[in-house]
Amino acid sequence: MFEKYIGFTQNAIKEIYAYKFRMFIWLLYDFIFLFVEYFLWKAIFTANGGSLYNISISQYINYIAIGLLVTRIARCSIDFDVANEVKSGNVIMNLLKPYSYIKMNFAKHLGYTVGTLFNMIPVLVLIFILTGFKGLTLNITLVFSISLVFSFLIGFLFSMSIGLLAFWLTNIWGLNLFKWNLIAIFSGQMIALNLLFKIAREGFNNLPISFISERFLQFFFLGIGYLSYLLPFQAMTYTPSGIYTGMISGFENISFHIILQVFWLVIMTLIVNTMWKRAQKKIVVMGG
Amino acid sequence: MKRFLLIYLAFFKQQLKCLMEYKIDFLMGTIALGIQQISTFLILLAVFTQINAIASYSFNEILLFYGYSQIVRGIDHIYNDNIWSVGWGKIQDGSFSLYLTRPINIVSHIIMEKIQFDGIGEFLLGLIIFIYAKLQLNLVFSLGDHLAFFIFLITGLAIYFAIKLICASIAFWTVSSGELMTVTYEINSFSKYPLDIYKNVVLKSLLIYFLPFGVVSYIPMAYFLRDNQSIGKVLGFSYTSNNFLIMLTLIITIIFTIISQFIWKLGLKKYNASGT
Repeated sequence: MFEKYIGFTQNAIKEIYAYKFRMFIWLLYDFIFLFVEYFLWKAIFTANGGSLYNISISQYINYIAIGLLVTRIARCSIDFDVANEVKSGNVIMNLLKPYSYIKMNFAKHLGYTVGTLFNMIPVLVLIFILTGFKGLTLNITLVFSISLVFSFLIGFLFSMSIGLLAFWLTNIWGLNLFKWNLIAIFSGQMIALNLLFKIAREGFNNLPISFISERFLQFFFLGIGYLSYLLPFQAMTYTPSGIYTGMISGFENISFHIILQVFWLVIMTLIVNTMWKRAQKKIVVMGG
Repeated sequence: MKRFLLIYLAFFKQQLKCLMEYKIDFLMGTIALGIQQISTFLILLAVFTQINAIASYSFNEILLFYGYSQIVRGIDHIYNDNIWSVGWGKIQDGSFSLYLTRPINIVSHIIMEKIQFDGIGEFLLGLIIFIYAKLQLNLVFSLGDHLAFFIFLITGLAIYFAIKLICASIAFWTVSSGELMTVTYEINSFSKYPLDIYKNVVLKSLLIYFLPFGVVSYIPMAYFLRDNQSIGKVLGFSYTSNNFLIMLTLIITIIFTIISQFIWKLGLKKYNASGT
């Protein structure tokens, strides 16, 4: 059933390695990113005596480091390819062929991700040096791996839905930028989501903006926290990273997050399938 | 010069028409760049509910650095965005040849061809943050300060320009340099915080002497907020006169402009050779 798609995966891997200079540059960027984030958060945590809202510096650096790996797995740029094919009309060619357009794109995305991860090996080594395997039990590793697979799938489906939007909107450049920024805030990539809830619950030591009260700021952070749980992005990044670093711990909490991932997986599958069915009808209308 | 402005105006009118064509996309892009700002603001806000200073910088001081860096980034984004297309495929697909047939300077033609209106949101939010922080800090500029500010702004834009031009020129040899440009450009986001907070000499020197994004936003704001001693620590040497910082900025700008022009011209020759 999957044999006919393996070719796409292999091609995608080859495509990634066709541009060695490009791969080297990305590798360099990852190193710089880790380097800077490390010093930035270190400065922040040291300024507060080594911990912030009872999150220790080492736990947070773990979170940043593993977050880089998780983001790379959840990240998907297939929307760019799909939108280009829609714009140029090449998408028609795929309808004539005996394979599913969505499965074909998934096979491609799988190839890109495997290629990227392979290229990331030196960074992965650094990540594991930074995080160590402290407190990592077999069970946690297992759950972490499962949630990583889910975040990979959700990332793909979400990207696919954005790409298919090109059938209705011609230009998706702005939308794409919009997507990356929403992900940055609500996925927990920039601030761990549990930090948001801790800010909302615990008292402040300092009021950054004099005319905005503590209550209002707490309410504001609580709002962002809740909004994150209403959007699919936290299932893409925060869940695996949180499980790995112990920010999400305990049977109930972990189950809740995994179930939420399954929920988004189902919803996104339905959305993508519906969109694709509608899109196909749209092509016929335009063609006729 | 008059001719340049006239042509620019003609291009500008075309750009406005394009903008009207893709209204939704423009709106999305502007909002997206705005959200990008807000997310950094959120981190700062979250952190400063517990801490009153990072490496001696208060919330408002860090906002001043951040706001200013976004002003420069925003202006650069608005007027100098088309240079990306050189790195991302104009050389690869050969459409770069078009520029060679036109009776205008190539670099000015590239700049004129596209005005990125999306950058307006980035610029305005930066301006608002900057003005807010300036008021909160009770920072009053004298006439000399205004002049210094103006020089810093121009040199900052020139440094951005030079770095982008160098990265784009690499494409003359490697065919495509979009990734290099993206990565280099993204590194500037590390200079939105005062460099003192990074407790690492290599990183600080890198951001001042190798990829001088630190000169774009760190030196100007530190000039207004800190004394010679603490800036000297970041630069790696001590100096006495405050005007020295302006000199240093000018020198670094001139060096980078010359390098960028040199590499660009060298690349252009290479392109001619392979084209025929």
